[in-house]
Amino acid sequence: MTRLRMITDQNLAGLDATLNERYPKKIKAISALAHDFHDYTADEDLIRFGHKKKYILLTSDVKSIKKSKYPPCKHGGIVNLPGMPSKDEVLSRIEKLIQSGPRYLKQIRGHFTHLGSDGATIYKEHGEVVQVPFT
Amino acid sequence: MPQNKAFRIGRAGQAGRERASMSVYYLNQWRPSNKVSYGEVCSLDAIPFETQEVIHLDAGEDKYRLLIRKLGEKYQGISSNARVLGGEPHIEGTRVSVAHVLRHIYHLGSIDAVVEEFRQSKIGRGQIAEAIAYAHDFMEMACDPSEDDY
Repeated sequence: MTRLRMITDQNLAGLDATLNERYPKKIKAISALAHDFHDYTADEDLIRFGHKKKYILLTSDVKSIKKSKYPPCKHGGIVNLPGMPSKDEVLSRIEKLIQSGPRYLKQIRGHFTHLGSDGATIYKEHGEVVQVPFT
Repeated sequence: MPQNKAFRIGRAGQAGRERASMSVYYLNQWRPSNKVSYGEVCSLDAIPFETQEVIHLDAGEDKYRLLIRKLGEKYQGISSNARVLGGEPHIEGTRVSVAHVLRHIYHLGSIDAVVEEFRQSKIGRGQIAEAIAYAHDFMEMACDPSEDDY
C-alpha cells in the first residue's frame, strides 16, 4: 500500500489535520508549523526539510516554488496547486489523485506535480512527463 | 512624403521616440519654413499595440517593487523577503501572503472565519485586517502611480 508522507504549507491552513482524518491509510500529513520547524518560513528551508525527512511538500505557491527552480529528484517531492482553490477544492483534487491509483501515487515522490482540477501532471527527471487524467 | 517617412521611423520605446524626434529634427532642417511638431509626426498610436504592452510591463515592474518596499515601511506587520514566497508580501514571520489572506476571505466570507482557519498559525484579526489594508493601498497606489504616492 502506498502511503504518502506530506508536509502542508502554512498557507493551506489546517489541511494536515483534515487529510489525516480523511485518509488515514493513504496520507500521513504534518503541517509546516508542527514539530520544531517554526522558523522554516523560507522556501528553500522548507523544501530542504522535506528532502531530509522524505516528505512531499503540498503548496499553493505556484509563483515562488517552481519546477525550474526546484527540478525533479532534487527534493522529497512537491505538489503544487495552481489557481485559487478553496480548502474543499484542494481536498477534492487530492481525493481524485488518490483514486487514480498507486501506480501514479508512487511517482509523486521526489518529483514535481501540478495538481489541477481536471488532472495532474508529474514532471520527472530527464524531461519525462506523466499525465494523470481525472475521470 | 517626408511625414510618412517619419512615421515609419518612429518605433516603440524611448529609443524609438528619440529616433522619431530626431526625424522631426531632420524634417525641420529640410523644411525650415514649414515646421512640423512632434505630435503631428509621431504619436503613441503609431506604435504597434503589442510593443506598447511590453513597454508598459517593463516599466511597471520596478514601480511595483518600489511600491512593496514603501508599503512595507508603512505596514510593519507585512514583510517582503526574497527567500519567503519568492518576495511576495506576507504576514511577518509566516508563510501566509496577502494574496492568501484575500483568497481565504473570498472563499470563507469573513475575517473571523479566516482567523479561525489560521488558528494553528496564531494569526490574529489585526494581522488579517492589516493585510487587507495593505492590499487596498497597493491597489490604489498601483492604479494611480503619481510620484507623491511612493
